[in-house]
Amino acid sequence: MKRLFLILTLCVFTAAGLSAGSFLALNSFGKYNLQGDIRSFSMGVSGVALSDNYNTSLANPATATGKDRIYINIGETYSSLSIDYERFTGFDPSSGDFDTPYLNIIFPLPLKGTVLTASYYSPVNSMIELHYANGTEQVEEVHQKNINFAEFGAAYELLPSLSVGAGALYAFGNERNEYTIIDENYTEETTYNKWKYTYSGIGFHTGAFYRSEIANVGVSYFPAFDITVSRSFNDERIDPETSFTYPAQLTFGFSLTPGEFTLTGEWTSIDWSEIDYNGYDLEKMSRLSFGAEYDLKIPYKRHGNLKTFDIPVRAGFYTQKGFYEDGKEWGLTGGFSLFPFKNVSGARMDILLSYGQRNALLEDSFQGGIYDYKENFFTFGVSFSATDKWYK
Amino acid sequence: MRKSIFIILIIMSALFGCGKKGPIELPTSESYINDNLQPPMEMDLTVTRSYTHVIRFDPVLNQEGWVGRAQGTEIRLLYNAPAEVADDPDAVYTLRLHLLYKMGLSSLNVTIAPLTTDWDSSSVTWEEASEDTPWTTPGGDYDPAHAVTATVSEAEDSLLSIDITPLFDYWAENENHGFIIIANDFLLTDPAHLAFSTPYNNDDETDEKPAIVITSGETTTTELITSSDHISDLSARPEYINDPTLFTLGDGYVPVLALDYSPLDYKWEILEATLSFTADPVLMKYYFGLDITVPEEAEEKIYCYTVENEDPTDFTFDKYGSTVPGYDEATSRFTLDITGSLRHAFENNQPIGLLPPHYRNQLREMAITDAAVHIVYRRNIEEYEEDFEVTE
Repeated sequence: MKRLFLILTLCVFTAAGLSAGSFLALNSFGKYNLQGDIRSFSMGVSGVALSDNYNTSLANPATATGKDRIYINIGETYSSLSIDYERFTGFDPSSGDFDTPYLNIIFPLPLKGTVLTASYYSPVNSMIELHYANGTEQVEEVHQKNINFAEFGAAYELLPSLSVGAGALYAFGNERNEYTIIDENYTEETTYNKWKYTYSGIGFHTGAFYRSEIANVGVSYFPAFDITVSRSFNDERIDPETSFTYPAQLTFGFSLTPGEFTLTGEWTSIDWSEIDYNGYDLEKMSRLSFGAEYDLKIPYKRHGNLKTFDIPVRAGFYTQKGFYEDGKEWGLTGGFSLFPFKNVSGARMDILLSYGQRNALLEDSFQGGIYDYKENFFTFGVSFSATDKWYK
Repeated sequence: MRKSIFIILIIMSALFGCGKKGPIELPTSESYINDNLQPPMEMDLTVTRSYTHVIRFDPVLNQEGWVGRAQGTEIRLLYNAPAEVADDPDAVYTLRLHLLYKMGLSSLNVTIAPLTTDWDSSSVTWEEASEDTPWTTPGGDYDPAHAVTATVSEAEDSLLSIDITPLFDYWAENENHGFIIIANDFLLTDPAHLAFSTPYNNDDETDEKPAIVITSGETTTTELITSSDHISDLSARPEYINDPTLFTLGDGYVPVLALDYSPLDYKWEILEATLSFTADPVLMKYYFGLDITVPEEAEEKIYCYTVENEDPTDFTFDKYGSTVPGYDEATSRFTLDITGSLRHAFENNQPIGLLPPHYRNQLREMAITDAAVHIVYRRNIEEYEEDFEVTE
């Protein structure tokens, strides 16, 4: 088991450097990712009030108090995009790559109702590499942007029905823009410029969770925090450092558990319009999402005995607006769980399948002007989770 | 367990393999104008200082042997003489020399005399016959009583035959230390010299290399001369000096230009840099192989060095580039592509200096006038950094 998770962790962090080719990388910070785990993605991205044996603490650290064993969850999504950008007539490229790696660990302490949490995820990332001719020049542009959070926190069960959690997060990432221009008319044929903006900052994440027999309520809050930006040109640092404020994010959610069903709903908001960064126009973002999970029991016979095979199946929907200029996004999500590692305690594999559309007004990076931009995406995600048998 | 992992990896590979990865190639059917890409621009760099760094040294003979005057000093040519002496007392000994060209004169009376002191071709100078062994008379010890005189007025690129039998009469009685060729005429201006081929001139045909032709009756034998050198009186020249009154290119003469780089930003790219200057076309032809009627046939490169230390006593170079000079018919100026050197000089705020192709191998000098540096450059692509919001 240790070896398996080591390999999976390596795969996820190797893929972390990759991101889907998207023109969105030319504006704002890049593509704004959904945040959470594969299971909550499958339920329309609504995990802030999801608490049972399989939830993670990514969306709300307070939900971790339900764990009494070490819990590890590691996942990754892969998106295929078809792009329609009105800046380019009759040009509808497609792209595909990994885009949202995450890792979540919950470590319960011997003190009852107290757990430690650690997680990594990437709220913003994307890249694009463009090749084109500009007169006699052959141009290659690479734009890559990402912001990552590494979060460490603790959760405590205040009351049997109420838990709270808090964590400190280290935000890191960078914007990297590389330009290579080749013009054979000159002795020095190749011009190469690399601008890199490196981000770093410390923030906080708090959460609360109320549970009852049939309904749970969760809330998560990220206070705004400053991110310092250091710049370099062709790897040579340029002072002074600058900064921008990463805005506060507030999320409310609920979950209901009528019978074999789990129903979830969530609303989240983050005011990106306050950001002043390189003249990019960002808008306030909000997302509303709903999801459902049904514990499907498939009967089968073995040695003449009737047994059941459990497969939790999920479906969800979300609608989001903002972040990008006139940004709109919706997604239909679905998924299920498999239990391929019978000899590993609590191990399961979650699968996400999602289809949706992302719209924005996108400024032309060549000559200015605003054009309609649309991405249809199909996302496949997979995560592995397990509890550690060796603890307790 | 292994089977499950294998199946999962197969499924993941298939799914992750979907979608186009890599760069987005914009359609070539359209032409793009990217306003953010700075077009190449041009400017002349102001020359803030110019001088000539002069080093005193005796030149080492290479592929040309000079007799006459250049760089304000007299030049004499030394050859060894084959020891072969015919049994026939009536034998005639003829010196065969290939006259490469005549510089600044149409004819020259020369004296050819046997040397009376042994000399070493690797260390001979005007003052010393060999290392730590001075001539009795600076400029070479010779026996004028056995000298011959001749007038060289032949056309360039022709073979000369000079009877030097009296020298062999001397060697019949004395040790053979070779002979010296001295200009008889009192030359007031320079350059004024004859250039002969040497044993080391690989371009010469064998029958054009310097030799002694022995004629005895109807028998003719040819003995090639195997070593040579020329010496010049540099005693009036300072050992080291940066002379601001000169701008002269030649061995021991390094013209230096200090340029004003302040109009350039270090983030800009120098695509092309050209040094242009006016010089004597005759000297450019003979010294640097550039015939303005067929400049494309020029082969000799001129080196452009960046100057690391301008202190005349410790004058040192840093990096260099070399190119074959060109000729611009429209402006009647010679040109030299100094792109590589100037980029390094700009990055390190260094002056530039010019050197001939065979540093210290040939005593040549050529005044340069009206030197100018023209560059083609590209401003940095992300000029928006000027508007970068700075948070104090």
